[in-house]
Order: sequence, then C-alpha cells, then structure tokens
Amino acid sequence: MKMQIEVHDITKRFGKSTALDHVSITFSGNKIYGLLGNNGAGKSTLLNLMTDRLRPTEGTITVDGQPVPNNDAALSKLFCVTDQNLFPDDMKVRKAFEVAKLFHPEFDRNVADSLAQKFELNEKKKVNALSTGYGSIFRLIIGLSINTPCVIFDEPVLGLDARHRDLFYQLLIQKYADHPCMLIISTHLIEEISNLIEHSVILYHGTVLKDCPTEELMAAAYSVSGPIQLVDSYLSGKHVLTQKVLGGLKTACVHGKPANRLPAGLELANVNLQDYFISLIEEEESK
Amino acid sequence: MKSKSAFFRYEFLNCLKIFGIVILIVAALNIFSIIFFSTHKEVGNFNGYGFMSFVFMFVLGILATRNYIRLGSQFGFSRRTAFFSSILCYLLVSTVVAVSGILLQLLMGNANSSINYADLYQSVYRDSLQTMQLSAAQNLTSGLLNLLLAFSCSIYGVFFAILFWIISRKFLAIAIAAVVLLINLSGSLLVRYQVGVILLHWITASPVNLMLLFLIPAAVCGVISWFLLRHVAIKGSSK
Repeated sequence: MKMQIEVHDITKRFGKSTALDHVSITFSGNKIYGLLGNNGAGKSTLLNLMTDRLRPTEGTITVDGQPVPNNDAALSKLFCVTDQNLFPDDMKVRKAFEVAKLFHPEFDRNVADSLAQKFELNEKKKVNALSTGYGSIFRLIIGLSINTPCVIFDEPVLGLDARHRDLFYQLLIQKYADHPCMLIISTHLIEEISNLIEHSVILYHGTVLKDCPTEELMAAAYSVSGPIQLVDSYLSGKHVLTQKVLGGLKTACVHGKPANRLPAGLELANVNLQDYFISLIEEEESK
Repeated sequence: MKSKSAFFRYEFLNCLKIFGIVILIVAALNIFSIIFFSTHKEVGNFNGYGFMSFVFMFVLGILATRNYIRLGSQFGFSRRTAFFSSILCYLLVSTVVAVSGILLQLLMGNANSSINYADLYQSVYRDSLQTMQLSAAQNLTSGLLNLLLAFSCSIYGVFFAILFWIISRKFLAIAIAAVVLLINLSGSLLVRYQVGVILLHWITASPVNLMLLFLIPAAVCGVISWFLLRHVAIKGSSK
C-alpha cells in the first residue's frame, strides 16, 4: 500500500493572521516532494500541523487514513527534521543516536556514525553546545539515518556551508536510492533542489498556488528573449508571467507551450524551477 | 516500529538517575549527621527527606515534562502518550522515593546517633522527639503519605510547566504574580479567620486528610494540564 498523507481543508490562524487558508494537499507514494514558497508562505506551519506539533484551527490531516492528533500509529510513520531542537539540551549527540535507535529500531546507527564522520560532527558534544550549522547537521544525520516511511526536512540546509549543503544533497539521493520513501523537502532555496524534486507544491500566503509534478510545472512555461520590439510583438495575446529588460534585450517568461517556430531573432529556452517560481509569485503579487 | 514501552523506560531511567543524585546527597547529609552528632548529648531531629523529595518531584515535573513531550514529538509519540507516560513515570519515581524514605527511616532509626530521624508522618502524626520504631502498618502509612505527596508535587510541576509553556510572556508575568498573590492571600485569610487552625486540626486528625489535601488539587491540575497541552505549540528549547 502506498503511503499517503492527506491534508484536508486545513486552516491555521494565529490570532488575527491566517497562516494557512483552507489548504488541501495529498502526498502520496515514494516520491521526493518539494514544498516551496517564500518566507511566511506557511510551509513550516503546514509541516508542524502534519506532525501534530501544532493543532489546526479547522480541517483534518490523515496519514494512511488515520487522523494525526494523538495517534502514535500515524505519527510514527513520519520523521520531521526542522530548525527546532526537540532534543534535551544536555543530551550528547551520541546519546541522541542511542535514543533514536531505542525509539525507532529501524534507525541505522552505523549510517549515523559514518555520516557524523563525513560531516565531522563530534558525537561527544552536547546538543546545545553545537553551532547553528552543526545543530542542523546533527538533526539532518538523524533524518538521513532513520528509515520511517516518510521523512520531512524543513529548510534542511539552513546554516550549512556550500560543501556541507552539497554533501547533504548527495546523501539525500543516496538515502532515497537505498531506502525508497516519501521525502518532503520544504525550502525557499529552490535552485539547489530543483533537480531533486519530483513533485512540487507551491504555497503563497497560506494557499496552494501549484500542486503538480515538477516536470509538468516546468513544461507549463518557457522563456523567450530577444530585441525589445520583437519580443513585445511576440508577446501580444500571450499569458506573460514576467518580463525583464537588460540593455536592448528583453526576456519574458510566458505561460503555455511555445509555437513550433519562433520569429527570427528570438531565442527560446526552458525556464528553470526557480525562475518559474519567481514568475508565478510576481504574477500573484501584481494581481 | 517504535515502542511506547521504550519511551517510558527512557523517561523512568532518566528520572531515576536524577533521583540517584538526590538520594546520594541525602545519604551524605545523614552520614554527616551520624558522625558529627554521635558524640553530642543533646537530642535533635531531622525530617528533611520528605520535604526534599517533594521539592525534587515538583522540580522534576517542571523540568522533565517539556523535555519528554518535545522528545516524544520528535520521534512520533503523540502528546497523549508523552503526557500519560510522564505521569506514570512520576508515579513510579514517587514510589521509589517513598520506599527509599522508609529504608532511610529504618537505617537511621538503628544508627548510633543522638539525632532522631523522623519523616513527615512521624513529625505530624507521632512524636518526632521520641526515639521510636514505627510498626509495619505505620511504615506503610508513612510510605503511602510520602508517595502521594511526592506524586502530587510532580503533578503541580507538570501543571506549571505546561501553563508557562502555553501562555505568552506578558501573561507569564501576570500568572507568576497571581500565584504569589494567591499564596499570600490564602495564607493571610487562613490566619485571619482562623480557618488555618481548623485546617491544621483536620490535617493532623488523619494522614488520609493530608493525602486528600494534596491529591484533590493535583487531580484538578492534572486534568487542566492535559487540556492545556492539547493547545500547546510544541517548539524546541534552543537552537
């Protein structure tokens, strides 16, 4: 049976502000999901609701048909790595690995130890004595070594240097290849993970803007560039997401599929996920 | 698959380790008193164990509860599991505390010291200045009294831990002020209207009354704590 997390009509309000507004998403099967959005889009709120760290104002969340609140069976299928440290401050890294093994026998201690070596994480250190970067690394290692049906990473590379970020992405692919599972990665650093994610969910001000396979998302738009006049005449009647002018050249991101042949002097290119994301957000903001 | 029993075992052993440190301190104090006072002629009494264990359980409830709920949340244990296994854990630790008290009482009763070791039960319901051996039934009552009072104190700790978790900083200051005010106000009311004397008579009439005095508010605090916990946003303590 495929793992399925169903977020149904979820609303979360904090006082007068609405973090999520009637959001419905279904995460299904062993895929790498990208939960994308600007700061404050509601990504972390959604993940905290999915793991019962927050309670929704309205709506329900189920894991394999079982409601999440107060349900060990549902919650045990998820492991969520966030920037929050939920381990006791005085706990040492080594002890945290032991505890992970105690609570989740499928936690691979050997993998954790080898990853700690790769990241040069000192297992004798207390969790609260780790730097911000190593605090993130510590939690990532547990996330990479635990074999729950769904592992969630919320802004996983926050505070990591370029070398460690690269290493994390490699290890993530390795984990997915060795133990296929549902991975949900929430980030606003889209360019770095655009090659990894199979399905994208874009949140914007607490609502779902897009929820489709990344391939489909990328094919939904294209970029055209050339002299301003030529581009302008080409764009007439088309759904333009964004346009930029640099010197005498204009680049536009256009929704839809390009015609087989473009007028001479214009260049066609695929949009990358980040550019498309920016275009979508800018279009929303201009409404 | 994760295991609830593993989570409970972790909580219990963790609490026992902390209690181990406390009991070592108490044992050191007692050994010191035996050595220091063995040559003195004057007779005194020591009944610090009970009070110390109640404070220990209260602090344990405050400090450990959030840790367990956070850790439980990280590893997919629900709020319900984390909360109720913590409560069960405190009940067991309170039992260990009470049994240790009885053992300490028996040991100190046989020690060659001019200090009478009297626990709470003996101090309130028996003459603590008289050297006396408690009967088995009295030891049992004393142990039960210590157990229930220690457990109640841990529930108060749980209550404050969760209350101070859920309320904002502004209300935190108000809540602390309210608690201090409530204690002072109830204290002065007890004195002014001689309710304190009536209450004292009622408490000293039977150990069951003292147990009820602690247990009933603890039960109310426990229920309120559970309802509050359902609305807590589980966040980390540090980076």
